[in-house]
Amino acid sequence: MTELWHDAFLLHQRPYGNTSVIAEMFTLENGRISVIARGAKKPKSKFFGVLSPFSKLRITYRGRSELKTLTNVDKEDIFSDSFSKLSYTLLYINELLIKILPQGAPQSELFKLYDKFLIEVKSSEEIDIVLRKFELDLLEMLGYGINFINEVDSGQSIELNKSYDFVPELGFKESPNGLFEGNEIISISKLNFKDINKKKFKSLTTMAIGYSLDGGDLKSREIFKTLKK
Amino acid sequence: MSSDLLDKLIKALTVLPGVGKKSAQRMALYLLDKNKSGAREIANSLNDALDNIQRCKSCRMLTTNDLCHVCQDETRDSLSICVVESPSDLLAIESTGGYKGKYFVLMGRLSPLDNLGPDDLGIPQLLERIDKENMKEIILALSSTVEGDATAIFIKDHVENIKVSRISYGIPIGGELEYVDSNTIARSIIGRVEINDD
Ligand SMILES: [Zn+2]
Repeated sequence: MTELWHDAFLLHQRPYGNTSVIAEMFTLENGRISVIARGAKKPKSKFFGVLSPFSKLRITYRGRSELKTLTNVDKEDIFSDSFSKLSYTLLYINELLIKILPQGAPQSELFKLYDKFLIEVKSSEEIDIVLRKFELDLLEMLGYGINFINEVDSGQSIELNKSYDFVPELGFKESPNGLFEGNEIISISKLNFKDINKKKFKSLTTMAIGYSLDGGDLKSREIFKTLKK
Repeated sequence: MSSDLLDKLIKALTVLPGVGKKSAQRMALYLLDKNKSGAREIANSLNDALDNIQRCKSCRMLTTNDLCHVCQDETRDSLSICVVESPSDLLAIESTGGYKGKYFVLMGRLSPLDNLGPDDLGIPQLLERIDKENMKEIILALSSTVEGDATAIFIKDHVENIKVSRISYGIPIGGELEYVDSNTIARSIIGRVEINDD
């Protein structure tokens, strides 16, 4: 039987034994899978130096158990020779995907979204905005989409001059001293992010993602917040 | 001789990097049959090392004393500190003989998915030392991985009034220092580039 080639991204790898690694892969057809790359840490291995995150890979693997065996890897492109100021964002995104994606469930739309995100974030001047858009789309695709159109209790349209609080499991709730102004919510719904306060926008997606993770926390948020002057 | 004990020894030897079952068997038979005194020596030194080797209180390198020999050496430049990920990276740089400053060993790099944060890497201790000892230069000899870059930026973001440079020249993408020969590292140290604010 010939093995099929799959488009894939490496989300994370950890050492296994002295020379092997176990890699979490995000594949176009089969979603998130775990593979073992035997001997990958040996400089002469065909896997050495090719297993890098954020670059589009083509892989083949085999096996019926949950842990597959990686048989070939081809690197299609090189993401970048330096991650520098993107590194926090990239570590965050991959932690988020690993924690939010169920294993072995196909998520081809999300795969394409991630692919697009990586291309955009590399060349964007506004990393936060690209990241927020990705978070909103991700929530939508996984069934946690935010309703930016209606108020939760009355069902009426969000109004420009009213203020609202965001309740993660419900949506926007009218409140005299709410954190979000109606005009901000309407702007986000129209994908117009220019005048949105960045901190508020971030707190919105943080709350929504926290809810989708069932209150589970992301280590990257904790790490990159600590000690910050 | 009980074959259980022999099996146990063979199995124990396979924990060594690059030693599979066959080589472990060869080693065990050689030690027990041909070189008993050598075997005794290995057993004793291992026990001694395990009982006495600890982390240096100042740089976290493995040492038998409170302070390692680099930290104790007063002829070294105490205003320059080189931050590495592992003891083997430190040894690789030392073997070039091209660097005469001090070190700090993180024992890893920032990695959310491995649950490794600044405290696990002793970064608060590093920052305190840089401040207390009025250091003038930090050389970040970290791997060219996304975690290595995040660690470099994190450290850079938490210091001020000090020159911060990064070894990246000549180190392949995704490469770890221990795979790079000492000439490459020596050239990298000499050709280190200062990280600018942007
Ligand atoms: Zn020391």
